[in-house]
Amino acid sequence: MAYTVPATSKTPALIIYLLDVSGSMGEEINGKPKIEIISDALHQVAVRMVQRSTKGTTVAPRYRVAMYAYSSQVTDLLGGIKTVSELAQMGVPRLQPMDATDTAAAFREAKRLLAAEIGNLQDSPAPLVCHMTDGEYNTGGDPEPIAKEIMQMEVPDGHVLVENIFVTDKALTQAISDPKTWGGVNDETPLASPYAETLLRMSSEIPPTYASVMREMGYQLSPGAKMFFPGNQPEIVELGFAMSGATPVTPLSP
Amino acid sequence: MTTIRVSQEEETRLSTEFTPFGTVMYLYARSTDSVSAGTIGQDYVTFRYDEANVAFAVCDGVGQSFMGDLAARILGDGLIDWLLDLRSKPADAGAFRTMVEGALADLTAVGRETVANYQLPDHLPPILKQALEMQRSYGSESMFVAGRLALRGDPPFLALAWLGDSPMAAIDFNGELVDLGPRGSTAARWNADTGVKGTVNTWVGAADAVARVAGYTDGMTIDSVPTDAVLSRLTTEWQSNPPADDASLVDIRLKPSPQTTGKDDPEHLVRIAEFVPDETRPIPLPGTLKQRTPTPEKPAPPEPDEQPEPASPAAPGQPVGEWRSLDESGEKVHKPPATADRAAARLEQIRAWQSAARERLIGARLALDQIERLLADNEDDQTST
Repeated sequence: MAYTVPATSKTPALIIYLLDVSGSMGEEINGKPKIEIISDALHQVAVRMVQRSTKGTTVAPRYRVAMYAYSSQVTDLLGGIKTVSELAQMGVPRLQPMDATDTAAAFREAKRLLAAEIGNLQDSPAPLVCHMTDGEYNTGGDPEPIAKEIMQMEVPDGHVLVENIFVTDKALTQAISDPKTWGGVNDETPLASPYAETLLRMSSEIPPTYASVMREMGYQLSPGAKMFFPGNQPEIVELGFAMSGATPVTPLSP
Repeated sequence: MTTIRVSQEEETRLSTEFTPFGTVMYLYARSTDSVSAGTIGQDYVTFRYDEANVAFAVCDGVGQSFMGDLAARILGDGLIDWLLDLRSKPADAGAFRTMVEGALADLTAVGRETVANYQLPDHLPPILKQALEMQRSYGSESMFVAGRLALRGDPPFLALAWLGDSPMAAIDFNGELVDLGPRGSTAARWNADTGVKGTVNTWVGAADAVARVAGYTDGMTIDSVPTDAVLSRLTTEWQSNPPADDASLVDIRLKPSPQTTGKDDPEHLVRIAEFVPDETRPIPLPGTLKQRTPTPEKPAPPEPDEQPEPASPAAPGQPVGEWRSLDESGEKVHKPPATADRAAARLEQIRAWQSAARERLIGARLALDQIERLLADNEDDQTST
């Protein structure tokens, strides 16, 4: 349970993205629509995954990626799980806002996919579900019970990791001054909204191996910090997506 | 002088170069990923020799650096040039380390320029290009094991250097492992822009201290000095199932001679040759690398309750506005060059294996396995034509 299995071609890491594309994602932050910030961050994480998978011009299939956009319904953006090599060829979709927010449906889709895949992941790193949203669900019910069930699923490397990126300025009582030196959110961090607390409970603790990779990227997340990234700064969104691709790719000690 | 530069574009199965001082075995196998993608390997192997001198380099280009194969080539070619320029035995390992560090610093001039001017292939997908450009600013990196043997030096000497975790091993004429000192750290490597990261390890000794020197990359996935049986098995396995990582090796086995044994007595030489049975050269030494001087490692950098309908694929009117950076072209496939005189090359290899076995530099079994494989390849060629 140490989250030490490296992502390799023979033991690739499975990462599932759940992306809120509800109507509110069309709202702007500092003059830029949230959905564009998300699209940019998604592109950056794809580049970073490719970068961490290259051997010369070869992209080793160290990562397998599924990407779901959700509003009132869930859409499979990639048409199934794709390797990072395939993702490099396909590119990353630019998203556009739709209507309602059925978060639970997206988590159910992730759970269905994990149930189908987990038997084949026994030698691989623990899968990671990366959820990005800008607000509370308004249809489909509470996603927390399903997220908790996902967090109980496990492979020998550890339980399935769930990460939440909350694109809002109403989650923290204190604004983040510098994402690079920010220590992250833990169970003691005061939060400003009940839904932020819900998302925190739906977030796994950052494994030390992931924290080590994040340090290499220049971030200083504290021990015990959760995979919960609230904020409306593009840098926080980028930090959150960077975390989703931080599965170790070489053997590391925890 | 004869120079061997092993191609990074294809597999070089276990081969041997029979020389006046002994035999040099070498191999090169690309990783599964590189074979599948039709791209070149990140390791690089080269050596150069004459009657009494050999310099070799086995380089392990670092994945996630910018085109690790590039650093591996610059390093390998640069190192053997420099090693062959050594006029006399370095005073000791410390002095040799300083010299190697100087040579590695000098190589950054060409390394920096080569990396800066390297043109990425046009057909690469934009995301991959963007990732590689980010790596370019980081630099191209490689680890290495390298050495120089000078049998006519005054005195005859062997000087070895390594940086990174690629293993190096030496065995003396009594079959004992020579303590070369610490194995390198995973974090240590040469950056084509900034030079050495970590500690260069070196060893300097008399030429008669060793009978065999082997340097190889970690893709060989062996924990002890490779035996003939292991080399034969890996060569066979990799024909159908390439290694997970690039794997390459140089294995120099020296004939007993006054320079390599320190004895002028021919009787003595005959006695050694008769005394040592085939299977003790190489000597199986399980776990031998663990006998090296210990060194502290440097820090490296269920079932679902509900079964919802599967999500629908993206379609017009759905949340996808557009797709970025589509590029449907594949990567260039490097095919082995057609060789008109393949049969002649194989005949030469058969003779080299025979000579090496006759001199008891390798086991008869290994030689027979390789000769059978070469003959089978020739038959396959004849059948296909």
